[in-house]
Amino acid sequence: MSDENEGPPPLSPELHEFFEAHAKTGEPTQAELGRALLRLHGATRPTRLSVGGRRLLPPEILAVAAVLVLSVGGAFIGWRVRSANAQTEALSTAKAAWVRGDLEAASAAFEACSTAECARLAAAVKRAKVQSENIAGLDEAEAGSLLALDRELSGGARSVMGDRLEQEALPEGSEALFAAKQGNVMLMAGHDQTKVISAVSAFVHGSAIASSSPELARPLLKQVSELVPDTALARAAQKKLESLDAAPLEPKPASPAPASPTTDLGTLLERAKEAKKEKRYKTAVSLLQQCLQDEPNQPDCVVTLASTFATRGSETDNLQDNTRALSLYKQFLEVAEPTDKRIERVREILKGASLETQGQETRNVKTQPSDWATKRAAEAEDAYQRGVVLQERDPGAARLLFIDALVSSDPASSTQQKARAQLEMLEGDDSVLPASVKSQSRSLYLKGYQLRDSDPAEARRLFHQVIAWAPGGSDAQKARSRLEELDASPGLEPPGKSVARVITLAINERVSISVKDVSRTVIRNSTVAEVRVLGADKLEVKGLSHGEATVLIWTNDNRRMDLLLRVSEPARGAMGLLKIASNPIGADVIIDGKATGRRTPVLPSDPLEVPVGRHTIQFEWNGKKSAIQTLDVIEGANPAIRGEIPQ
Amino acid sequence: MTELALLMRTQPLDLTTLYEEHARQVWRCLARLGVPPASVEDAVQEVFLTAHQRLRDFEARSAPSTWLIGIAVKVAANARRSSSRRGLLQPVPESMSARGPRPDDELERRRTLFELERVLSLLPDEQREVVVLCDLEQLSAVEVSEALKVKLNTVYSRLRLGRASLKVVLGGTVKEQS
Repeated sequence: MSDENEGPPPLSPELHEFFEAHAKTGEPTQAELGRALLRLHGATRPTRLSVGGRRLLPPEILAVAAVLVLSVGGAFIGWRVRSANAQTEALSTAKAAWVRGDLEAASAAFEACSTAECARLAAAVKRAKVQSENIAGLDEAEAGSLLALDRELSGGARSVMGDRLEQEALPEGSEALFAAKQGNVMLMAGHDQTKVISAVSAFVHGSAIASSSPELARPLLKQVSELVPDTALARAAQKKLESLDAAPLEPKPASPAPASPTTDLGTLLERAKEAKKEKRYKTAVSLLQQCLQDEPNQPDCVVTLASTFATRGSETDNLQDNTRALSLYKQFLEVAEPTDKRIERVREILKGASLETQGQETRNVKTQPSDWATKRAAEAEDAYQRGVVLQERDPGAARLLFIDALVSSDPASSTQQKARAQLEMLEGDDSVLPASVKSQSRSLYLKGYQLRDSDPAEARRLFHQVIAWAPGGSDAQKARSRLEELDASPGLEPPGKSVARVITLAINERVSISVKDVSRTVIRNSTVAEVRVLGADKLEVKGLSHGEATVLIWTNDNRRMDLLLRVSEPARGAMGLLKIASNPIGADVIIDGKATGRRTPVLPSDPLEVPVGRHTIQFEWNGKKSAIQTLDVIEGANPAIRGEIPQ
Repeated sequence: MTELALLMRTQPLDLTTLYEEHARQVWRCLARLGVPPASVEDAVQEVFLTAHQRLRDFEARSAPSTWLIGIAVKVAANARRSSSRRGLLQPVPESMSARGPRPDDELERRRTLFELERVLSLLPDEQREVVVLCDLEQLSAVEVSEALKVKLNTVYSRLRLGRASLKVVLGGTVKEQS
C-alpha cells in the first residue's frame, strides 16, 4: 500500500490546541441567521404575479383567495366523495393503517371494501403480514416486492414497514434500496407521485426477475424510462436493459447441447470474463451457469464462477454469494487437473476461509450454526401453530404459514411432516391460492435450477419452496425430480460463519486497531461509526451515534475478519433541543410513546429538550396519529422535525 | 440515521428546511475560508440561492450538507478572488489580533476571526480548504473528497501538507508573539 493511502499523521499538540481554540470561530449569531433567512425568502419570492406581461394582484392576496376557494370547494367535494364512496374511505383507512404499521387493521379495512383492487391489496397485505414475521430472512427479491407494496400503500410517505425493510432486509447497495431512495428524491423534486410510485415498483420488480425471467423484466424496465425519463432511476433501468440484451435468454434445460461445445464454451468463458471485468456480474454468472449446464464440472467455468461470486459477495457483502463461491472453489479442487497451477491459490483461499471460521481472535463472538438451526426450527414450529389457529378463519393465511413452516423446518422434522399434512388437506382449494403464486413458483424453480450445481443447498431450499407453494403444479413435479437428482449426488458443506471481534466505544471516541495486511474495508451501518485505514497494519474507528456497526476487513491474502463496533449510549444528562412543526398544527407531540405535553409548533425560542440518543416521535391530532419517525438526537444539535398527520 | 435518510423522510425538501439545518455550518465555512466578514451574509445568500436553483438536479449521491459545502467552497473561492481584486483583504492590523480583555462580544468575535484568517491566509487555497473542512469542520476525508470533487488520496495529501504548513506558520506566530 502506498503512502498516499495512509492518511495524514496524527495532530501535533500545537495544532490540536489551535483547532480547539477556533472550534467556534466564524459561528454566526441567531440574529444574523434570521436576517439572512428573511433576505433569502425575499430573493426567492415573486413580488407580483404576471400573466402575458399583464400584472395581477400581489401573491399574498391571491394566496388568501386560493385558500378560501380551495377550503370551500374541498369541503364540498370531500362531503360528496365521502357520502358517495365509502369504499374509497376504506381504502384510505387501510393505507393509513399500513403507514402506522397496523397490518391487522389494514387487512380488515381492505376486506371491508369489495372492489377488485381491494381484493388484490388484501391478499398482498396478508402475504406481507406473514413476511413481516421474519423480515431479516427475506431475500432481495422478496424484500423488493414488499418494498414495492409499501410504496404503493404509503404513497411514498414514511411507514413502519418501509423503515423495517430499510433497516432489516435491504442491504446497503441493493437495487431495491437504490430505487426507494431515488423515488424519494424524485418526490422531493416535485415529480408526479403516481408515476414515481409506478416507476419504483416497476424497477424493483423488473430487477428482481431480471435474471430468472428477462423477457418479463424487459417491459417493466422500459416502463421506468417512460414514466420518469431523464432521471437516475431511468438511467439505471436503461443500463439494466442493456445488460439484459447482452446476456443470453433464460436457461433452457431441455434444449440439446450446442453442436460445437468446445468453441461455445470458450466464447462463453471469454464473454463471462469480460462481463466480470466490467462488473456486470449478473451477466457473467448467467454465462458461466450456461457454460456449466453444457459441461458440468468444467474447471475453468467452475473457478471463474467462484471468483465472480467471491468478487460480488465481497463488494456487496452478500453471505450467500460468499457461500456459493466457497462451494465452487471446493468443487474446483475436485474437478481440476492435479497439475493445474490455480489449485494452490484456491487452497489458500479455502484455508483463509476456514481460519475465519475457527475464530482465533480474542474476544470473539461466534454465530453458532446450532443456535441458528434451533431458532429456525422454533420459527417453523411457531408458523405451523399460527397456521393451525388460523386454519378455520383464514385458510389463505394459514396456507402461507404452513408454507413458511415447511420451508423453514428441517426436512426430517415433525414440523415439516405436520405442515405438509396440513397443506395436503388444503390442496385443491384454489380460492386460497394467491394469484401470484404460479408466477412466483416458476421464478423460484428457475432460480433453483440455475443454482443446482453452484449452490445445491440453496437450490434444495428453493425446490422445497416450489413444492410447498403449488404442490400440484408442473413446476412442483419438476422440482421433485431435481430434488431426487440432488439427493443422489453428495452435497457440499456450506462454509462456517465469519468471526467477529467486538470493540466497544463511546460517541465521538476514536479507537486505533492493529490488523495485519489490511487490503480494504467495508462498513455496514455507517451512521453508527466510521472507519479509516491509517496504514497497512492500522485502522481507526470513530463512534458517531449509539448502536452497532460491522466493519468487514479484507487482508492482502484475501482473508476476511469482521469487527463488531458497539457504540455505547451517551452519558446521562446530555440533551438535544428539538424544533417541531406539523401539518396541521396543534398536534400533540409524543416521544417514545409518551405524551410530552407539548403541542406543535415547538418554536426555536422554546425548544423541546430530549436526552441524547435514538428516539421515536409521533404526532396526534384530533384522534389521528402520524407515522412514527425515528430520530437520533446528538448533544447540542437543534434539528427541525416535521410531521404529517393523515386527514 | 444518516442525514440523507432523515432528509428522504422530510418531504418535500424546501429551501427553508435546508437553510435551517445547514445555514450555521455554511456560514462558518465561508467565514473560515477567507470570505471577508462583511461579505459572509451575501455569500451565504449565494450558496442557498445556487442550491435553490439546482435542487431539482440534486440526486442524493452525497449528503445535502456535503453538497452545500461543495457549493460554499466555490462561492468562497470566488469571493476571495473578487475581494483581493478590490483590495478588501488587507493585512490584519496587529492591534486587532493582540490579546487583551475586550468587553464587547462582537469585537471579540471579530478579533478571533481575524486571528484565524491571519494564520489560514498564509496557506495555499487548496490546503486551506482541506484543513478547514477536515480539522475545523470535522468532516471525514470521504465527505471532503465528495464536496471538493477530488480523489481521497488528494485530500489526504493536501491535509498532510496543510497541517505541516500550518505548524510552521503557528511556530512563526508563537515566536513573533514571544
